[in-house]
Amino acid sequence: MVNKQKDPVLFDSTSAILESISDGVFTVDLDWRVTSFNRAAEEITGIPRKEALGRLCSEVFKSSMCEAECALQRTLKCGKPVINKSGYIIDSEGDRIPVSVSTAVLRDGKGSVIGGAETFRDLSEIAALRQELEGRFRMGDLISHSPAMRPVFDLLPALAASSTTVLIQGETGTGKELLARAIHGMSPNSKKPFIAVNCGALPDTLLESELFGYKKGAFTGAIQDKPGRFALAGDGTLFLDEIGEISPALQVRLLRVLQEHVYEPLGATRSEKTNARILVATNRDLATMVKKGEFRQDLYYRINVISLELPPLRKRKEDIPLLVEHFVERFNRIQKKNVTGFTPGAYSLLMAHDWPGNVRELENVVERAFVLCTSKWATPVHLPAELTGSRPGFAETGDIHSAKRVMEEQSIHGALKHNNFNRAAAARELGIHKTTLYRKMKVLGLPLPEQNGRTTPRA
Amino acid sequence: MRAVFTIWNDRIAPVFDVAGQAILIESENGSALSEFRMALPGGTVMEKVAFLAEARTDMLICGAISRPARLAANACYIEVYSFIAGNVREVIRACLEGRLRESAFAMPGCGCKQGCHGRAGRGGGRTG
Repeated sequence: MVNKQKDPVLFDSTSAILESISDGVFTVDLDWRVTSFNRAAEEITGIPRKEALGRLCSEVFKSSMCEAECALQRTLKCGKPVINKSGYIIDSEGDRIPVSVSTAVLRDGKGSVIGGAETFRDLSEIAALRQELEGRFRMGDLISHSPAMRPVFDLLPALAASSTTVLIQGETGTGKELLARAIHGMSPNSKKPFIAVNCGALPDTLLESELFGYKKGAFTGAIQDKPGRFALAGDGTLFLDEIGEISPALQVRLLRVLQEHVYEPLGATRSEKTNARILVATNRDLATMVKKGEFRQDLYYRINVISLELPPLRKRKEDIPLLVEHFVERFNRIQKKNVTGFTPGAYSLLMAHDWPGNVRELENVVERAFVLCTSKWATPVHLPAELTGSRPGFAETGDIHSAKRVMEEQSIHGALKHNNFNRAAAARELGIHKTTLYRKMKVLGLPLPEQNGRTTPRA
Repeated sequence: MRAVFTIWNDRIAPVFDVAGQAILIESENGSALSEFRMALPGGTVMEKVAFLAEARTDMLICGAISRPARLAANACYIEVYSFIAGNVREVIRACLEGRLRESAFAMPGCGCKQGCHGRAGRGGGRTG
């Protein structure tokens, strides 16, 4: 480029090289106007060279970095190149294309800065490959490589293809709505609406009008027709969360919709038809509720055509690193941070915790660590007290030995608790001999519980 | 009519998904009644769309926009004029005069394709 006027042969060969490489290359002048745009740049961006030349680079490149993190601006400001900075560009169809960019200062023959050069690489294929590799563990936003989740993943494609009602059960925070969204997302109606309703969040009368809608004049204040969630779902999916919370009267109306696919909006004189697929979820034991007469048996059988059980996080702890990695990636993107991950000490504590709030609790813990973390690695000091066992001394040092100690303490305590303080059973759960358990408890200074699994607890 | 123009350096911001500033113009019969400058939320693109919906935006005039963001805006009854480029004052004037579709305001590569440089209609049932 520098000698292009002096040496036409060099200019020709440089142009030929630029035209033949697969990386996009463009150059700008000091007013940020595009001065050259190679063939690969045309292909990746979908913009013909003649339209790009002379235009502002930000309006040609349309990258996530242009406004606040322009690599070229940084290079021209400090004179140093930027290598492989990741971001995305948006093409004319609205697709985000992942790219990595590198930049350099452009100088003339006398060494004066005349602009900048940017090369960029389309990472779509790498992103697709990565997704394919992760595909074994991911469906929609559900992520797992735990055998405990395998039955759920195995059933998903078949469930998605059918229109059967599915009952999703699991503790709070296990991802019941994510599973419902995954079923919808993989279904032939994925382009149709997905409407979620939390039945436990609304009083009965409001839930009724919310689900079925109402007609003008149905009650005071009903000044116009309002479509309900069944109508909004159309041919898509209606997800009814916390189904165990609905009243007996509403259970009857819901049963009719599930059986006959028709319903009457409040104040309507005619029935309306629904083609929406129904997915329901609960964290309550519906079978027990049926026995107690709290939930209609006929509705239970109607919604329990196929039931999926989402295991709690404590039963799939091997998923914790995968989920943490996923959340780290997401919060880096959302909070525009560059946290690499959690230190081994912090990981030990994450693995040792019982996670009563399941994946949602883990997500909150990672988010909290992101707020507090100002370096590349989140350490135990960034974790809440319930994970560190409220040991400020440990939390401040955060070294691996302290983490190991806390993890062992929590594991032993957890195993004893699970096994009703039967030490032999706790040792079996921990995979160690009973005498090793005694020795460890002694070393860690853990008192022998008064209750031992054979005796009854004292009042 | 409430129209929001995403801005950067006195021009329409190149990418809506990461835009940080906007101007809200309230107009009637082609005349601007009021103008506010506002910061857009820095989180996800859905947060930006929710913010615009909260501000009762009728029309969004922006640069490049990702498809999910456009669909979300349409679902909030926001009419989107995307892939617009140019000096913000000239774009506002063109908008008030109904000249937004002029090729002078098209981003490079966005001259003619559907959904690009121009209107993407509202998703909801509201009219007007």
